[in-house]
Amino acid sequence: MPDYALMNQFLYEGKAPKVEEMTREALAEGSDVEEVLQEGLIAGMSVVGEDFKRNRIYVPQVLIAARAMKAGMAVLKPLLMKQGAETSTATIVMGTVKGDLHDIGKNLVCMMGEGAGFKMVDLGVDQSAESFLQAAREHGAGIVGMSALLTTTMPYMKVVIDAFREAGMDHVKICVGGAPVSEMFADEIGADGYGVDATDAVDLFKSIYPKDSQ
Amino acid sequence: MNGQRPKRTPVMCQLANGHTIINTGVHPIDYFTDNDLWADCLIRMRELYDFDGILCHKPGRVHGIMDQVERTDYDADIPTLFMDDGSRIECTRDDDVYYKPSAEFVRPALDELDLDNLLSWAPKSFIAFQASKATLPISDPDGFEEHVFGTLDRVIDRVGDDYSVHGEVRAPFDHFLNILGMEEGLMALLDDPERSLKIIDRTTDWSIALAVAQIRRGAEAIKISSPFAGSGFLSPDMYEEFILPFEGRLAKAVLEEGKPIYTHTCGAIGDRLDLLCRTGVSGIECLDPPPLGDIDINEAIQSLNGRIFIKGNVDPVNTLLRGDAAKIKEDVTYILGAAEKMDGFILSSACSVAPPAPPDNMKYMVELCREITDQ
Repeated sequence: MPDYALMNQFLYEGKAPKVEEMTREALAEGSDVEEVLQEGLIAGMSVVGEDFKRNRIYVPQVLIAARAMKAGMAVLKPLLMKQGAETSTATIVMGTVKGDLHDIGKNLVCMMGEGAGFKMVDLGVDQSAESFLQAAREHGAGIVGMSALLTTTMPYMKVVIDAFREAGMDHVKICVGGAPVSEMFADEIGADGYGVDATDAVDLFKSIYPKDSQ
Repeated sequence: MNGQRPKRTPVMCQLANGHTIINTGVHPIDYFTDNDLWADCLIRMRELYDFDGILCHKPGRVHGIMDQVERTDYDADIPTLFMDDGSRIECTRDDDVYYKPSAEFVRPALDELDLDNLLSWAPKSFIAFQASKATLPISDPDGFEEHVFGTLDRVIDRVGDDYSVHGEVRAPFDHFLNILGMEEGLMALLDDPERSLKIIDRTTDWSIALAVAQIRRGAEAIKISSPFAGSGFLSPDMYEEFILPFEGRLAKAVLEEGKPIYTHTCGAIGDRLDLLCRTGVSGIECLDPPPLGDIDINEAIQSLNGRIFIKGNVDPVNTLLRGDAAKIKEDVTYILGAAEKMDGFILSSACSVAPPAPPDNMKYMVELCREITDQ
């Protein structure tokens, strides 16, 4: 039985080579891929999320933990794909809206979302309504997450929301966040949810992910 | 800012570039490249809002940058300078300028950086773009060429006798993040703190040189742009290790020139007001109130207890951009009521005034300040 507590600790401390090594060892010992993912990586990342929420750790610590998680995931991903596990994973499409090139918040949400077991489809920065729609269709996403740092780009979130409504894709839940965005603004533009920070966003995803899509 | 107690509470705000571009109607490429035009914009915006001072947030435009431009798309939705090394600089019509590197662009890893020449790896367009953001790898206040101060000199020449003109420098940590990239830079602090500190120590020399040079040319105060030092990024312990000693050295150098220096750190900073004070700065700008930050002005005044001046803290999004007259009045009255208890207060937006903020909202804020504090 792999020492998952130790693996979680290495992940928390951002020791990517150790996490990668333990992931390989766990598989070599015959552990189930899904078990290694859940017990070794996702469990570790969930402590990172909790501690980040409580200001016990900050962005740099989250980034190195996510880098360690990625090292483990690189080992697991081919096997998960072979098992077809990814096709049943809840999928979230993320991007910053058109005109907005600031991506650290969005990147953190993607890292934390992946750490919570979601399949995160990161469209990157400066994304149009058409890109969000196309990606949501292509990946069968249940949630689209949008981020904006600029007051000039936040109104574009409504353009995306309207595009989803007009396309008859009401079943896709739209979540928004970013420094100038507030709960009140999210309500005004008809978003389904607002995340104040990355961990809040992931909690939101967990709470609103369409049950029939999971 | 000239050391005398003002008769009334001064008002001045940091304006987003987009706000100035929109409200002066200038072309963004001209705004980005022309010292005369930019100086004129800064002066016109002061006149528009009747501010008591002007923040010249960069000393000047980059001399010779157009020599690197292969082609200009002046009429596009996003006017763009196509640089001769394959990169481009997008000059948006309602926001800032953005550097889009060529496909070959790769930032160095922390251990690949030459400590004696931190930009040795960078393509010339990146160096020019960073210069436009006041990252100039010069460590001697006398080592700058005259043209570096093309805008600041013009503003001081035209209105320096009548209004307080402030200069600005990037924080040492801000230079560091712009060299390594945001995420790599933040991880570097944990991966190799010793080397990170060495780099920040060198970039501190850049900030000091530029700050001192601006003071010697007539700037009345220096603002440190330190947007990534809040709790949205760093723990208080990391602040103490990676920010405080370096902004402290910068503060000391400016104070030795006989002028004040203040720090602008965005977002939540309520847990580090004491640390900010320990840098030795004369003042703090921003103090974002909830929901953007976590500062209640009354609590901040109580906590700072007159140790340093405050420049803030009207919510730039929920009040100045999206608020109505009643909301502006409520906030300004509350803030000025709190500020009555202290010396050294400048009414200002907390973070920058957003590009689409209605000018009438800005004017109303200033009008209220005059009404309330002239009494």
